[in-house]
Amino acid sequence: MNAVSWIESVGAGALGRWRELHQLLGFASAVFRRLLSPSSYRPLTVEIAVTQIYFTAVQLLGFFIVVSVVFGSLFIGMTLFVIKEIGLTGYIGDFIAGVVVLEMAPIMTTLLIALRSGSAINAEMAVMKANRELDALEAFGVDIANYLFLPRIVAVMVSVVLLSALFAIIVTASGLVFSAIIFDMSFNTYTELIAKAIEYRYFTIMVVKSAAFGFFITFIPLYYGSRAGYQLTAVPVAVLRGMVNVFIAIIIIEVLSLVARFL
Amino acid sequence: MMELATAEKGRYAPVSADIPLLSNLSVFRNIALIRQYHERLGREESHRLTTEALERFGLCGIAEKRPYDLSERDLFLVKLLRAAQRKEALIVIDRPFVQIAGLRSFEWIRKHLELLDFPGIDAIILDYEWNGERYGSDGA
Repeated sequence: MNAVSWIESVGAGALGRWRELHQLLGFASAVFRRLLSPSSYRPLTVEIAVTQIYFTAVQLLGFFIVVSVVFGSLFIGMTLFVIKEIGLTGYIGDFIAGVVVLEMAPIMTTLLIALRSGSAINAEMAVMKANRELDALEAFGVDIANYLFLPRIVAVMVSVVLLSALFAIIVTASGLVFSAIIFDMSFNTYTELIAKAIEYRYFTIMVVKSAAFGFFITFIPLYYGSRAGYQLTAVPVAVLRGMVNVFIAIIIIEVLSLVARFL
Repeated sequence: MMELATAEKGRYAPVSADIPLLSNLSVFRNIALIRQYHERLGREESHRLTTEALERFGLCGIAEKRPYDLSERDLFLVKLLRAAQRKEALIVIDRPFVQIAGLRSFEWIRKHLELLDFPGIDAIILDYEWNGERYGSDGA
């Protein structure tokens, strides 16, 4: 391969990626506009969203609480120990508010839900495409963005926000236990440090960030699933592409939220 | 079929081997979905109308079954009921003898079509010419 054809193939690849990204973001913005429009919501949308919340959040709840307690306690125990070693005890509140509430809670929740529900939604959509069920919906005038995308996206957004809050509460409570063990800190001192460090905007950032995570970890699997081929062999390819792009989206949102926070 | 789908977009209601039921929904929900979506029906109203529709064909016993558990005949009838849920539906039955391999004449389908006396409903059957005699003396 000579230099010119190499440059051509790189250019063609880059253009292909750009077109794909352009289409994805265009469709995402169309779905987002529907999300904000009350006329998109039918009693059926609410029914499907509630069912999806059950599958996404309620069924996961037991496992999620165990993971939050185990992982959160390990993380907070180790970190508080380091904080004690380097003599930064007064910054416990800032650490918990800045790292646990704003960063760790949304990302851990998002990863768990993306692995569990994101992949399931991606496969479900790709199988529906391969079985021509999406064509059947279209034939009956049922808009797949309204019927399939909207309720699932709303449900996962709600689930990520609520489970992130739960994760933050559990890890903050673990912090109370570990600060009592490691620093011999009283309940009042701990809550005062937390209250001083947490600002109202932190809740807004956490909710917006979790909702953005929820939107993309559902939209991307739905998008790639619905664009799969008609052969069953296209299903794993669609799931693979969807989940890789979900991972990229999580990193991009995390970076953007950090930039927004420190600007 | 494609021309019909485009020309009669608002009422086109196919019954075809190429237009499957949704495999992750029960028979009941497959039928209910059309009115719930287009007429924005609530759960109770939709439940009442879907039960009524299933009763017409005596299919209440299979309401909670999934499409892959159905016989060819039941699958056909459920697709027919789903199609009839569209407002002023133009039911387009695509090659019925392909959908129900053991069916010898059109009489059985005709009998069920007569039970669908919803207002404004029409039905068209698309089939190969050589199947003409299976539709009886009046054709189809």
